[in-house]
Amino acid sequence: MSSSPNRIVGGIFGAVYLLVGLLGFAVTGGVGFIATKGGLLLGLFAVNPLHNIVHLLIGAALLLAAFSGVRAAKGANGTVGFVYLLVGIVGFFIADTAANILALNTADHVLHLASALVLIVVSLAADRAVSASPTRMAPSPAP
Amino acid sequence: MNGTLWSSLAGFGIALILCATAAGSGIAIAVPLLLLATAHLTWAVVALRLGRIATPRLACAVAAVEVLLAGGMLITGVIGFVPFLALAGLSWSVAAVSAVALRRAHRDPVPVPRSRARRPGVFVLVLVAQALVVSAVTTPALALSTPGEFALPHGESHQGH
Repeated sequence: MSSSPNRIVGGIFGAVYLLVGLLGFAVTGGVGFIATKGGLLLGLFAVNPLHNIVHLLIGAALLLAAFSGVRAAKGANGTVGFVYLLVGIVGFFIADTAANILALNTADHVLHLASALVLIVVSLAADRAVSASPTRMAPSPAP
Repeated sequence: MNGTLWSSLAGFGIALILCATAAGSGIAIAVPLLLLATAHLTWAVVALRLGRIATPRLACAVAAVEVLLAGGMLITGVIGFVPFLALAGLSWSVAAVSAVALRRAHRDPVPVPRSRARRPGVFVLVLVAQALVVSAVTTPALALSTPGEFALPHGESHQGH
């Protein structure tokens, strides 16, 4: 696992998002499930219960993929990265509307954007050999 | 590879700023900006897949023109000073990295295969550091774009209610 950047990033991000998802429930008592104004995690990141569940699901997916293998980690990182990029872009356009069902605030955008960049880039740039190989392969090095 | 990583990350950042600027502009400005943003995203993905700067001469020229474009948008009031700084800075860095790649290509027409460092941990650290810098530069620019300024008041705490 330690020799594949995709598995390292997927494992770390997965664990962090699982933790963030769990901690989120501590600040969302009394917040509506899809409330557009959420509780503040670490006094900074706005979350609501749906946002917490999304964090848990994403964390679990990244972690499972990281433990499954390089191909799975690469796919999961790329997919989650593009979803986060999309959320980062769309988030600015749905502010102060009922569509902001994840209670996104500016701090969320920073975190989502940084996550998206790391996940997309590691998926596209690292472990390139795994894309060319049809079979499961040994972890390949960073470029 | 670090230069390719940086220029690709910067490409993503530029594309996001252009998208936000387009969202707050009229259709005549929005369409070319969105086309430019799409080109940046495509170029960044291609560079990452290739593992080198794609079309460095074109990238250098476009990035240099983009710095002027950012200045023009600042003067005409399409963007504010912070988005201008972010856009110009990221574009300038892409131009610089592309120019270095171009110069290297001229110096070594047949690239000498270099032994790839098998240090995924270092790669991940460099990537995370560069992504944080790009997002730290990009986010204030996004927040100070028209849709971003509209976005700022939301997401407040319910604590105390």
